Amino acid sequence: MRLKPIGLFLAVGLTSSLVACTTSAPDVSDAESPAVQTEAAGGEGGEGGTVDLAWSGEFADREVIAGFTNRVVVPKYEQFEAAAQELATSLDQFANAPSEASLTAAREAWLEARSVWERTESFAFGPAGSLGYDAALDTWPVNETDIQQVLASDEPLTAEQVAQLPDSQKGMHTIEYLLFGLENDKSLDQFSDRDRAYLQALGQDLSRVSSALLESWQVGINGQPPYREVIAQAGENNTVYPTLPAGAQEMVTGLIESLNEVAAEKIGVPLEEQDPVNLESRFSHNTLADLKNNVIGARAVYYGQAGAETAAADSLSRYVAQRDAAADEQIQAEFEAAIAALEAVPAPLEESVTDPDAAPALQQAQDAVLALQETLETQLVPLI
Amino acid sequence: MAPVLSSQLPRWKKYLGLLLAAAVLGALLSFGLNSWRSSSPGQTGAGGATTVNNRSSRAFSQPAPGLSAAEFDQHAEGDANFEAVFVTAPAQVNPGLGPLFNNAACVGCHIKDGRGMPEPGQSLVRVSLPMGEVNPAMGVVPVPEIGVQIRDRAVYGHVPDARMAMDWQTQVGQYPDGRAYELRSPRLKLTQADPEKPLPDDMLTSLRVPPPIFGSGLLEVVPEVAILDQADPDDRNQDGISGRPNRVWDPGAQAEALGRFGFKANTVSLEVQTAVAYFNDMGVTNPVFTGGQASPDVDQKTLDTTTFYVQTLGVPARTLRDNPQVQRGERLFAQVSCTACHVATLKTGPADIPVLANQTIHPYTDLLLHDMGGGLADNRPDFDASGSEWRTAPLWGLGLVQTVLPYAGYLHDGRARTIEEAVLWHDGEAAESKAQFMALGERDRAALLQFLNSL
Repeated sequence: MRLKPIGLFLAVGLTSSLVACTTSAPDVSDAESPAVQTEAAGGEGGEGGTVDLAWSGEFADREVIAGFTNRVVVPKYEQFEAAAQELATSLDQFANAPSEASLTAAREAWLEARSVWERTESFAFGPAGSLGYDAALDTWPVNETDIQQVLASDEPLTAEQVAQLPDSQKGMHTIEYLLFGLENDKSLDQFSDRDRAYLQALGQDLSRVSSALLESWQVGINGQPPYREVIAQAGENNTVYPTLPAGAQEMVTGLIESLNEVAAEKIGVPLEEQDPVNLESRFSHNTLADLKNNVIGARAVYYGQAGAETAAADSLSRYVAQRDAAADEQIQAEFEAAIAALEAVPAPLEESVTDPDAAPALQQAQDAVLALQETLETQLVPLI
Repeated sequence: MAPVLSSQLPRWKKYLGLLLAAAVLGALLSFGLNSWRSSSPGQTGAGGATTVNNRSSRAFSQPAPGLSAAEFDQHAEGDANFEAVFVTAPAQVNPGLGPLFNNAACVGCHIKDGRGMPEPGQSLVRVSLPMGEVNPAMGVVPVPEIGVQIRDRAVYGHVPDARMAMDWQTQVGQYPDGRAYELRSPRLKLTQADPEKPLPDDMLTSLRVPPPIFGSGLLEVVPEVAILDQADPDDRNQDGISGRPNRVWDPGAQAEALGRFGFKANTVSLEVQTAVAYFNDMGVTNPVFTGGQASPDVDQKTLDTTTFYVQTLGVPARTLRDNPQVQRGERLFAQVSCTACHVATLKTGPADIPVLANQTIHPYTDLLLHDMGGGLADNRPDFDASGSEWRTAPLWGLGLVQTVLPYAGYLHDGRARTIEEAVLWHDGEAAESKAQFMALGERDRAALLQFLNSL
């Protein structure tokens, strides 16, 4: 195993510290988990197993958290609400007047909504879990057997009815399944009346849930305070985030875990199993774009603003730069490298995942995302 | 350290000074730590070596530090199992849901490995009959045609055990200093859905929210004798607190055993807990509960890795430990004898997973049953647990419950909207401690609650 000087320093220091501890106190395990940093950091595992990350607890810049909620989270949920509304409208039009043009428009609207949603993955915390929005929007896999039964039945397919269906029979992937076919190959004449009615109802339900999600952040639901305030007021008599570093840790943990999910799960599992069936947007052949959008969404968190390729003044990026300019440069460069590496993978991933010629590019993309994750764990985490 | 090859010497030489400095500094640091430690007993890592420093919404989902690479691979595989959404067979991915179920995925209820909401879909209802022949493996008299749990959902073409709805009733109370409070409790409504499954009038019901799962691997390897040592079934020390072990059925050994898991400690091990949850909660058959299938929906490896995932999650470290209010609250917590049941420190014994072995941990539970009074009683006995007894809930991670799942509730049915409300529901063996808490001044009460929120 290769050790960088800092890793070597810490490893030896820790070892001697443990030796000293055992000689003076029999119960080593009693020490508060030592903040050790080695190359195999955090949840990644890798060659060296797991260690706890070296959070310092020194983060003290409230504006960075406010910028995150005001310029990233809420605007992205606003954008998602608009995209979901647009999708519902397109599905209405397709249901009422099916044509190649209205089908294409509906598919484009789905791809746009999907793109926005995937850019929110690195801040998937807050009310979406408690209130069931996340499951209603994005459950995977879809229950194809039961969807076919619903289609074959004569049950009404209204938005109210669809809202009562289990999560694996609604949301973005059920729309994708019905709209694109199993292999992005459903032709206009393959749509039944029931297909179109189901799609129309699903679009309305998706739009409703996306509005509720935005509302839960912006104004609050069920008498609860807006969630934007809950994290923005970290450390201020706040039982959810009792310290300011806890609020920043929420941002950074989300970054790290969304990148790990891209590399280890979304690329890793299908690559290892050589089976496109595990790719998340396989019906539309859009998985590669999903992955790229996940990383772009993570970059927006780091830059403190959505839709820009530079850092805002009150951002994690500037916060890091003020303390360790080289670290910020490295993180920025590795974000760009990860996005570029994903762009270099031949699309669609649904085909290239089993193509030996594409394997090096895919491996490179996975490595680039993992490298970025590791840099965040070793360079960013100790500043938070 | 491996022998250094001559070709590598120049690089190692460079680091020699660094090595020595690090060794000296590390030794000095540890002596410093030791002296600090001895001045704050009981203030150490909540989960021993498995403690993680994370106070975010993902705090319950971190792998324990110290897993080997092979162990981490197993943990990651179990993580994927825990997230897997099951669907109706036949299917290419995750077939085997139902036909009856409560939810389609482990994480559907244990959201981010924490709690679920006190709502249909994320909570479930245990049922039994008050009279009749106790099924020795279930510990209760099962309801004919239904069993011991209402599965309120079904795949297409099937009918659930019953429909479930609930609403809330409120009651008010007052502290001795005049401050008023309001508590709420759920009213469960079950209605018959299947003509073949009448709901008996005298059916006993118990509503449950899913508990967080982290740390249970440590509780599994606390030696049985250490748990039994704390039991005082006849209250011989006359402190008003009994503490009884539950004796339950171990389907693996086909024998009676100590219960550790579940709100009434009715489950012997995490493997059984996992297998029961697959079978009852999701309708997914497995090698322990085959449902009569020759080839169950998930295999032994899936069951093993999912169990391993649960066993190897880290325990979040406390926050604000140097805050004077929190420290004051911790003293008050002991002073009013909350620690008589919420025992701060336990030690684990030998374990197959090295990182779990011989750890000093701070779960704040004795893993025993206590009578909690009529207000909390579900009046549904479970093995040796009476209708008003509950296992002392572990309190580690308590302050993170609503960070992980905003708006989550506390206690077995999620009725308490705040930690304060949860304290106020305590009665029975805890009545004296609660009275002492209520008699504290407002600032002291706040300090005690701040301590609980730091866990």
